[in-house]
Amino acid sequence: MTSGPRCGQARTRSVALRGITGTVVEVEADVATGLPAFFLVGLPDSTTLQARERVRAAAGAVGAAIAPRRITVNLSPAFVPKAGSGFDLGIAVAILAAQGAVPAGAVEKVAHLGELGLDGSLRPVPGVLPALLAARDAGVRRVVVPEANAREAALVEGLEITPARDLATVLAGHGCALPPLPGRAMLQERPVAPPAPPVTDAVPVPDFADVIGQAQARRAAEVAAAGGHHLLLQGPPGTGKTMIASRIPGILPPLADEDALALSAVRSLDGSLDAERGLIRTAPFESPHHTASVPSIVGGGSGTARPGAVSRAHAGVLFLDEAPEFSGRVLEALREPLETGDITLHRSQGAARYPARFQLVLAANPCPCGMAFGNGRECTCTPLQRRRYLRKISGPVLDRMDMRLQVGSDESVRTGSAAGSLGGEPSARIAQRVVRARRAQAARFADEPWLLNSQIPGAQLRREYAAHTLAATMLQRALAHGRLTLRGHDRVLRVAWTVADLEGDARPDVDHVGLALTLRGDDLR
Amino acid sequence: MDPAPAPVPFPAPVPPARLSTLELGAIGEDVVASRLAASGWQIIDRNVRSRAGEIDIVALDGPTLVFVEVKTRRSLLTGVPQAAVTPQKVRRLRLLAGTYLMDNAPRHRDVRIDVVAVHVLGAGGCEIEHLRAVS
Repeated sequence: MTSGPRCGQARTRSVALRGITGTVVEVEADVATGLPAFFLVGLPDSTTLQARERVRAAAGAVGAAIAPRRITVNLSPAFVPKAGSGFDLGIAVAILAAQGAVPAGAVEKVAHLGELGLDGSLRPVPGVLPALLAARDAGVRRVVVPEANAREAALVEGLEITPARDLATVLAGHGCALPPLPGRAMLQERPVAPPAPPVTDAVPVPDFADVIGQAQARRAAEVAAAGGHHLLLQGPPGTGKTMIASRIPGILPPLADEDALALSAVRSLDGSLDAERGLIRTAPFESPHHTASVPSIVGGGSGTARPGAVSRAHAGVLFLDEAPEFSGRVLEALREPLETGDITLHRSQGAARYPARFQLVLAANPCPCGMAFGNGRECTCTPLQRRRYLRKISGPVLDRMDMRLQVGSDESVRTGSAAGSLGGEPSARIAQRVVRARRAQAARFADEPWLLNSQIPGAQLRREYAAHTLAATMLQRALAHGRLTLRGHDRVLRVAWTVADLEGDARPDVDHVGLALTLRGDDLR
Repeated sequence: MDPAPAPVPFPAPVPPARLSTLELGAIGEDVVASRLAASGWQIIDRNVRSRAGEIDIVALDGPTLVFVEVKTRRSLLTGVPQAAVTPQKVRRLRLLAGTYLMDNAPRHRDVRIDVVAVHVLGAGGCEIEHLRAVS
């Protein structure tokens, strides 16, 4: 009594992303007799649920209409929240396999990603890179992705990637003979071009050669880059705080594989990954405006939280210009990622974890009018205003800054005697020293879980990585005089290690610790 | 794909294209009723009208009392016939079935609502699809 497409079940695969963590999802379709209906279950969000309309139209447009039957699609594991339109293709393929239009065996092990247009075209989706990494780790061998995502998909090694421009191509690839439709040209499958060689200096980063004078600030920037230390630059307007901070990425070494993958995955999620350039190998530099909200910095949004500036700055520099102008809540929100190197955001649909191991660079004016330097005669602020201004950067945040530098307080810059020293040391030369220092750290920490001096845990630091005796005494004295907190002591010692690495010494001595203490500076209040 | 079943004769006095929808529907219901009877169903009632609407066929399939909604279509331009039975219409069928059960139900063990879709293929006959237990 029945005719047309048969009833049955079939399955294929897709990937659900929560943050940059992916879960392989079985897309199960059941086509049964009954009144025509289309149920989509397995915790879809509203975008995913609307796949029903897109899939129906797209399948009809390519000549493989969805049967007028009772269709149930389940995205399993059903308790994992699904978001976005990337399930469209998997849903369409599973249904067409269940009703016998596509060989069910051909699609069962294949993962499908992509959003369908009503005309059957296959559109790109965000997060292909983290999704495919998860698929590969879960044992998936073959994936179909939208052609526009092919380059990004090709960054993942060890997967057979089939790019497709529309649903017809996908179905044909699975061995489905579609009736020829007028106005629809069958598109040929195209091989994926290999990923472009990593580009390290795609965006021109300004050069340190442009910075006039400011020897100490340059030195601090170099130390910060070499050891991954946090840096606070304080000084009046126009003394080059921003100039120096924006040049730090230029002396940071290219990212290692793990960091490059993590950063590229974050970028893929917010759609700013340029896959043509391959994995991101250049250290990122994020400088949000001071009106930024907490979610824009640490990540946020309803449902599943999306990454913020701290994650986009992973393995690079987060620069907050005019730091005291930022809202207190934003500055305080940085404390957690500063400690742990990642950030976990809880929302209604569960927690998302993003990498956030950034180097914090803060720039601050000495007071609201910016003139409280030198003898401070030109400053028009009241003492109360001045105190309030710097108190915006709270003690805990301030204490986490390894180096706190006064910029522009030396008169040589203002009087112009330094103007003759145009063209300081170029970034390329500084970068060589940074790379050398990084290599020394890598050799020393080969058997440890951390990579940089700034990441040495306090206990090991004091036990195994103490300074030379004299230098250690110097630190003890500073601690006893209350010039350093205990955390400050650790931070100075870590900076001293970096200074020693930069100079090629095996262990920090008095000079290194002395410089580290100077760079640490006084408490600002 | 399943082999297409042979078309069932559609006994229209004139070519189906010239029938009104009412006439077409009535013939469709006749065809369905006679086929159900032929397959062993006991037809209890036809076109049971009440203020809320009409039940096309009430029949006993063994111990099960079945309320049958027949949908007849000449073309699929507006979709397959069974797609015209919306969730809203299914709700009304349940209501009508309930009313019927209160008044004059024969002895039965179960109750079911079926939809039978009749697709008329011009003069050559029709295709019938029987959907059981739609709600």
